[in-house]
Amino acid sequence: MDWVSEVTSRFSDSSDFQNSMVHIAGESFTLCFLDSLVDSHYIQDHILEKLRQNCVEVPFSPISTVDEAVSEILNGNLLIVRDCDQEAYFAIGSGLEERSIQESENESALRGPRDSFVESLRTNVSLIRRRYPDPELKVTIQELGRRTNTKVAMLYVDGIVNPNILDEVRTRLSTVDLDKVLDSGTIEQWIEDSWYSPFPQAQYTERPSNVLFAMLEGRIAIMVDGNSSVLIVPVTFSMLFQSPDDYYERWMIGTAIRIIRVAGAAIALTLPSLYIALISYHPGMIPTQLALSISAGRSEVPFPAFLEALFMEATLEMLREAGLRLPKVMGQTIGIVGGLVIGQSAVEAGIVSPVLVIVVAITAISSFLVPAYNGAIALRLLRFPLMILSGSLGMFGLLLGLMAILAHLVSLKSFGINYFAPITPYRFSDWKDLLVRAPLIYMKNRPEILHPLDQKRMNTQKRKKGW
Amino acid sequence: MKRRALLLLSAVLPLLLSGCWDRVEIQERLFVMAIAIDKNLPEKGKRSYYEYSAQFTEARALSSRISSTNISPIWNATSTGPSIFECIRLMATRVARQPYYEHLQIIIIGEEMAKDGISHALDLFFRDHESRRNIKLVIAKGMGKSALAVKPRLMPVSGQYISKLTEEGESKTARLPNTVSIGQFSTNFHSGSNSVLPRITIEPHEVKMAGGAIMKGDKLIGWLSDQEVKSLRWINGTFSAGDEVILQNPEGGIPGFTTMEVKAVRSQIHTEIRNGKPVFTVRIRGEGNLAEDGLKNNPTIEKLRKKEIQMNKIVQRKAESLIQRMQKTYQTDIFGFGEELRRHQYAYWKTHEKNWDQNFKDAEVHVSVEVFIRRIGQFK
Repeated sequence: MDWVSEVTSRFSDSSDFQNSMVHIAGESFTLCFLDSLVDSHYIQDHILEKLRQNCVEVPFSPISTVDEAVSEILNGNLLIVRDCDQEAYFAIGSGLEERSIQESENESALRGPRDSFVESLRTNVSLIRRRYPDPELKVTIQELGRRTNTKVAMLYVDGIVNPNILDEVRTRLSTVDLDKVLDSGTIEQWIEDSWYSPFPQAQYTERPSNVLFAMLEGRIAIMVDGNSSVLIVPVTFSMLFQSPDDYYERWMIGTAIRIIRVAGAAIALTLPSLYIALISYHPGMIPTQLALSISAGRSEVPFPAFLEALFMEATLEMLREAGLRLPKVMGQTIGIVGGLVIGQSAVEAGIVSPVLVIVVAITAISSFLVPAYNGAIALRLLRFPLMILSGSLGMFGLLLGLMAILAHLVSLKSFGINYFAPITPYRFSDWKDLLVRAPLIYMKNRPEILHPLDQKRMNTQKRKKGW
Repeated sequence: MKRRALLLLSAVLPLLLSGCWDRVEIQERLFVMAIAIDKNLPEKGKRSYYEYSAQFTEARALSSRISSTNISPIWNATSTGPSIFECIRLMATRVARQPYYEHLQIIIIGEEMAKDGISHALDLFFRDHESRRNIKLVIAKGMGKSALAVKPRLMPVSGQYISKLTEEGESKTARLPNTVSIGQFSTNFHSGSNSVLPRITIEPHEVKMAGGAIMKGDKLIGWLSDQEVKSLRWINGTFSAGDEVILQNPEGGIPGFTTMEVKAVRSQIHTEIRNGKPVFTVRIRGEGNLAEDGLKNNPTIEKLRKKEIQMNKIVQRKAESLIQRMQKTYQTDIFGFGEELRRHQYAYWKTHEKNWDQNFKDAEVHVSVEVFIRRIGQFK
């Protein structure tokens, strides 16, 4: 078999494909590789050096099919063909530059490990492996994407994860038949339960410690090569409000912060619609003094409360999006334009009332309290339908909308796990990690809703209450 | 797919049906802070029995957002008509905005109106969904309307001033009765018992809220003085804060008064039927602090006991005289004795329910008082 011509024909019209012949100690070898993937210094220093040392026995793994050879080359390895007997081997090439491990930008934490995932799957797996050096941490890699053949790894802890959930995730992953898998978000959308839902049914994180924490609860992590965000499934609604900091800090602090987050989520969802309902329909529910001052503040506003609030909330979302897209240096400009110019001058021009500016500001701040970005944005978007409802039906409409959201949340599932668990279905033992982050030694068991094989998280027998 | 589209339609269409029919922006509403209802003496052939005054507030003027001198923060509009509802709707012919009653604080009834009975005039406010049960109800000596016209020194809205007065007065003195809301009045009226409502006397820049209006059913039959209202609250056990004076023998020109700050009073009414007549034993226990006694009077235990005994006698005498006055002059049970009979002597109550106030006249009432002075403060 003529390896070199077979492989070269596969890589026709690829200028970065190289096949170069080297003569070493009377033998000639042909090296086939992609110079976009392999560092030439590495070839010079390591591979040729090794060939020079052992001329008779080639110290590399043999290869038998052309397909195999092609895929190794595509993975950044080298194909080495000995010209005399046409034996093919492959040598592991060194990858080119990749981003080094940096501090997580999107999920900052005060305490705990700060490293974050990078784009390389191998590095990402190693970040987990290094933290959990035990063979029971399983990493199964498969290639997904009809054309891109992206490596997708599924990580779980054998002996903790429930086999039913594992099978479900594995089955769903095996159905992925897309032409490209460039992002974990694409996988998430393919394998999620309900795409009519605004709520995220998979969590993503950039921090290895979060992944490990989730796996030790009995969850499964999905890593996509070339992507620094790792998916965690299955998730529940309560996970939107959990942050690793809760567990690193003392339980009282963790609890207090978590309650603030839940309150923030409630405010972000309902405050503008509550404002509309109270102003337009039920001024009797506002204390008299406040009602008088709101009435005075709104005296020059020509729009109904609904349009006024819609205008300001839409502006807020625009500012947020603009701030996200612009370079960081410009971010401050957006803040000044948004905060001072729009906020203050809209009031002075009599387009919005001063109270609404406060409402919008509080809404904005509280919507950023939710640690999960995809959960926060779901809540932020849902407030617009709620505003329409309360603008047309008052408090009745607001409650109608909230009931619809609740009904949806209760019926939603993530990989067979009820999304609103442990509130409903009711699992009291899991309430220790819901609103309240119970003291460490009270959280003896892993979450019951995930049905882990190994229930016990710790053994508190040796620990004394007071030392 | 079709089913889903139908579901979506049925969810969206009701929103169009509603058309925001209840929507009135807050700045378009005119807050009514207080109303006064007076009796109107109709001219011949005219059918207007009520003179209805409403106090509207303009929030912009209150927060001094507009400085135009011809817009005042409050407007007392008056209309006359045969029913309150008609009066309210007549207002709409003069007021260009929608009056809003959910922030109504107080209803002031004129003296003449109260003498005729107020249940009819208040009926709308019991029924209407825009009014609350805790709207305060007071009786004005003279015209209720003139109470709205009072220009208080420190507050811009007289209705708010009068309504605050009931709250503040309640926590500092017992000179006004504690049943002040229309809900409480309605409860009393419908259970057949009588009430005492706060009385206000009107001056150009202030009102005085003290004393009580004796309401037999819904009719005003007489007034209670400040001191009598205090006695009433000793008997009811609702004397929660206020002053009571212990009279000492005045020596020379120096007034020898000792004042006690009453902190809490409890009373128990024991009922029994003796010879076919109800006998009530009112046991009053009160406690409080020594407020003023004169610097030279170093308190000792004996002195304090003496003062307590003096106090007991004073309260007992005042309570007894109030009860006698109610029995003799008005034949009206304002103390809730009837309710006690209904609870404990049901057989008797059943037969005498109809003319209880007549029987009350002959009832035997014993009052015993026990007062404790708990704190004497610093005295050296």
